[in-house]
Amino acid sequence: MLRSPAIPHIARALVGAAAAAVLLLLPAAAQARDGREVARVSDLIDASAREGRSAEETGAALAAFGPSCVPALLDVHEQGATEQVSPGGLRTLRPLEDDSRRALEIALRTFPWEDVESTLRARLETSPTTVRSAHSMEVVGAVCPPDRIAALASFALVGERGVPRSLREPFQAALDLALDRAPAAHGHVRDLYRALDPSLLAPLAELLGERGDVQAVDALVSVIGLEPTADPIVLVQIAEAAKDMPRPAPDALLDAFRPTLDRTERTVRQEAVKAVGRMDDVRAIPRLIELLDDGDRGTRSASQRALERISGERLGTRSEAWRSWYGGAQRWLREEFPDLQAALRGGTNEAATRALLRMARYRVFRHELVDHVARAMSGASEHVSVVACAVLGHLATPASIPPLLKALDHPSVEVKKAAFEALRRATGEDHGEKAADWLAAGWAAN
Amino acid sequence: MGDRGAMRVRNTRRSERGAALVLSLIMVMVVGSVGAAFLQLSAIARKDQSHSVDQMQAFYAAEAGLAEAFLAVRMGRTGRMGSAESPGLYGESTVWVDSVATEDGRVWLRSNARNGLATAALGLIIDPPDPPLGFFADEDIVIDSVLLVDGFDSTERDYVDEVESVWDGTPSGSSSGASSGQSDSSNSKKKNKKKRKSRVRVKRPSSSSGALDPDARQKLLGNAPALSAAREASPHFAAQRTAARFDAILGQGALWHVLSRQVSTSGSSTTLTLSPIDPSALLSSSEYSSFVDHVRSMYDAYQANALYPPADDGAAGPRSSGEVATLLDRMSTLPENSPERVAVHTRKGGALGSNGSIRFKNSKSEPVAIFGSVVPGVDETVKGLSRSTVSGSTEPRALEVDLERVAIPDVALDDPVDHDGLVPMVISNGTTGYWSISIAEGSELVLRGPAKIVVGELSVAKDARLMLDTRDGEVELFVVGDMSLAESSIVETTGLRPSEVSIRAAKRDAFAAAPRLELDSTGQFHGTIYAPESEVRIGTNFEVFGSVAARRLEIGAGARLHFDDETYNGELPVPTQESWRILDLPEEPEEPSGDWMRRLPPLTEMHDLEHVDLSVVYLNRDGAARSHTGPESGFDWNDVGAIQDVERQDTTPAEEAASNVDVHDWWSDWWDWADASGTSHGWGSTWGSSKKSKSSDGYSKVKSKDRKSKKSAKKKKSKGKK
Repeated sequence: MLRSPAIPHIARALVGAAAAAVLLLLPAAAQARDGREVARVSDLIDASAREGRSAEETGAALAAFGPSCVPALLDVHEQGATEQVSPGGLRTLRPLEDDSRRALEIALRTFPWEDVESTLRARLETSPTTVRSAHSMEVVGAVCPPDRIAALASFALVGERGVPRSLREPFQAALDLALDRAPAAHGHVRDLYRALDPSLLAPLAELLGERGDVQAVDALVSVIGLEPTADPIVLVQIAEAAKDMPRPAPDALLDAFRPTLDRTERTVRQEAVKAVGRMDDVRAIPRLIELLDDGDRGTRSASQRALERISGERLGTRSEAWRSWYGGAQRWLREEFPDLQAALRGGTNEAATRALLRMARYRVFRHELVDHVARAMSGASEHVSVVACAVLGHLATPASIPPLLKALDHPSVEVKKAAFEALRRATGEDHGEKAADWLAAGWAAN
Repeated sequence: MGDRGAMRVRNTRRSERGAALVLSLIMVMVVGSVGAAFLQLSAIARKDQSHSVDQMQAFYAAEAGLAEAFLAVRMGRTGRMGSAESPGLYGESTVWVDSVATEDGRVWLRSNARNGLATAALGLIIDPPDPPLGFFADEDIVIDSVLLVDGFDSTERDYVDEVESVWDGTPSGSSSGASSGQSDSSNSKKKNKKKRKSRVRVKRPSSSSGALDPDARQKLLGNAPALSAAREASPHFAAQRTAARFDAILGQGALWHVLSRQVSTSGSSTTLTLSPIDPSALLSSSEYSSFVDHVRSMYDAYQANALYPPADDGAAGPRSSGEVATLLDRMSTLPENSPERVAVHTRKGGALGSNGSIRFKNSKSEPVAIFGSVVPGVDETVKGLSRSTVSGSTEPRALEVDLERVAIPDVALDDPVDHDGLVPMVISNGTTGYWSISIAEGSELVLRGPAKIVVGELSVAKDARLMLDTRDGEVELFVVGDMSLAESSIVETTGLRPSEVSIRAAKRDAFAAAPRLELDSTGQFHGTIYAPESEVRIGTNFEVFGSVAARRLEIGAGARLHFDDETYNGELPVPTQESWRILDLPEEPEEPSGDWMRRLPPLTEMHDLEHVDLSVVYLNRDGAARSHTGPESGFDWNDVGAIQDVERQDTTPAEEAASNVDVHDWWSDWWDWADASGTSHGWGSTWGSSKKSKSSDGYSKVKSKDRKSKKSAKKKKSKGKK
């Protein structure tokens, strides 16, 4: 046999060429497959939209494509539109409707989170752009289990100066979505906070502050001290959220937050003082009285305003006056209040009236007193009911509203009038003498 | 014996006869005297009582006069109402109010009332509100590129809502400011015509849609009667025809919108987004197939400017607050010379002013849109308005504006703050001072109100953020050194009211250089900037919602300035009442006759001044600019929303003026009191029936229009923040 010395070279060249061809063609083939998958997903979504199918139905149909279609689902989700290519080569994009987007998310949720997460991670590694990073965070917010919310931290691209500003809003949107979807995620905010780049701590605090519900504030309180430099901004958000938070705040939240009053940083302490005042934290009164003598003028005036808000008293700036008042109020609660309760339960009309009026003098304990006053209305005489209505209006807590609304339907005209006046006083609004009108205006009956 | 006794008794009785009568008479006289005395006392008491009632009525009438005059001053009038010789009637009282304007800008009012023989006089010193300045510079202003100036009133609705009302066509209180020159009261129209022609250029603002140049706004080719030969020769001719066909099918402006906003290309591939206008839903399947085939050619024609925008593409304009907000956000991403930067706006309330001239250098090529007034300095002009849109007046101001100095709070300055970290730093509330504050790239600083912060130098690096948090109170920033907000830095405010944030700049001391403010940040700043000694540069993307007053104003290309007066469109600004006093009573007058009183006009009609020529530039209640020149009696004050400039000229005949009393006489008691209480005063010029009004000053607070004689001219004072 003739053996040419060139043959091995030719063979090697052929093998090399074949390998190169395979290497070149594989991505193209994958791309083509992905393109077909995207087309399938697009077709299904467009058809579902035309037929008016629900997000759940569409999501189930998409899930039937199997885990291999996760990249295609993510592509369509990221693009925000289904895609069709005409024979002439024109690419038309039809923006996703809300239901279609939700269907994609439902489908993604049917697959193991680890699969989705690893796909997202691979895509971001391939193309580490802020757009892709923002989309990855959006998917995490929409799909991840509540206990994996910390994954958000790993999808935020970090540059020399932290996470780019353009990614902060998508991060907030993703977190907001996750907290809306799974309230249990609030419990894992602390993990997320720990994992985050420092540049995202403020956006996180800002979002929770804007949410402003008890869970969000609780989550904010849970991160105090984890990163001391971020505490001022966290405290600012807590103080702002406390403006609209339902009162009384849960004791556990107040107990966890109260030690912040002892912090030495001026900003932290000032904001903490504002927050306890807005949360009606009666137990913080002794510390607030101490802070009336603080060296910082801002803290002193904030403490005075907080005390005035909690107590409903105007005793000025002198700590002695507040101390004396608080001692008296405590004594009253300890010594006189039990007798007044008894008078409300089984005393004469005169005794009940006297007890109610006495209670009205201690507005500082309004959240505790309002239930007793409300109970005194049931089965009481007309006169006692009238006085109770007036006292409820004076105490003016959210819990005052339901018994007053109920009193609007009382058979006695006097009680009705008293309830109406009390409602006006407590709410600052006037919706007439019919309970239905108050309910329609958003004042809940219970 | 018996007879004699009887005789004695009779004699005795005879001797007592008449005594009773005397006694009775005495008694009657006593009772009568007492009665007469009581009657006298009663009459006196009644007279006293009647006088007291008259006195009270006179007092209340004087109060009514004072209230009416106060309202008049609030509207921009003099406050003078009637005179002692021709008072107004209020109930059974006659009332007149004298008014004196002092050179420091205050107005002294004295209300006099008579009721029967009772008189009352009350005095009030008030400080009338200053006219809004808007965006103001003490020196000349030169505009050489794209600029938008408009206005709104955040107490009424925020800017986005105001813009939305323009897009929606809902009446926003103003049809447009364009008619300012044409809708003055008929009395003054003829008289003003000549003057207005030479000075006021009024142009209807262009449509609220994207393309500003009305000349370029032609219908799409399909709506044109014929295609020109040149167009037929165009390589885009086929595409033009197709476009005309599809525009007719899709409806007004839809194709333009699709091509301009929904098509993109990358090399040879073309992408069509079917939102917000979905041609596949609007066209039949065959039409849509044809559309798909021709999209690229139509797009190429559009890109080559071979298609023209539709005459009214308002149908494609934003319809909701969300869309408006998105568009506003987009503004900062547009090139600085893009005409689109002035495409989203309100239609009123803007104010650009100067003590010098205002010059538009390139308005032929670079659109300038000012929805409101452009007010140059005294005797100065607005130049180069060729294709600019100015909806309001361009009349020069009557009075030079004197920007008051900034009073810097006396606070010790702490060490410099150099914040360079990824976690925001918070400066909490209170009054504090720092030698300097510098925020490094990517860092963030929050100034938490209520706070007064004095800072030597303030610099915000690129991509750094300065947040002015006014949720708990106002933030007042006093800058005594330079302030530099780098390009692509971010300055934000949490609130939307300009009164919540103020930045004031002043020299540290008399020997220091005036601070320079370079505001090149990106973001929406809701606040006021007041720097009477400084040069202020407003960068392209530093969008101001509020006002700026500076010595020199440099406005970047494509700037968007929105004047928020918080008052101009709502309630009239209320003058400050500085003091109120019951004045010594004049001598008791004779009781006027009933006939004479019946002929008197009511008090509220006593404002009209027959012998006063009024020249006033104002915004009406709809926010449109108006002006009036002529007798004040012919001017409808009820239409006034806010006064911008006012000037009065006394035309009282000499003999009548000579009979007027010297107001100094009746103010003398107050004068002494004011001296004692430290109230400043001056008699440089007067309003009302004063002999001083005959001086060359007339009624005007400042009549001198010569800027060179600045020292001798009495300056109108201006409050710090505007």
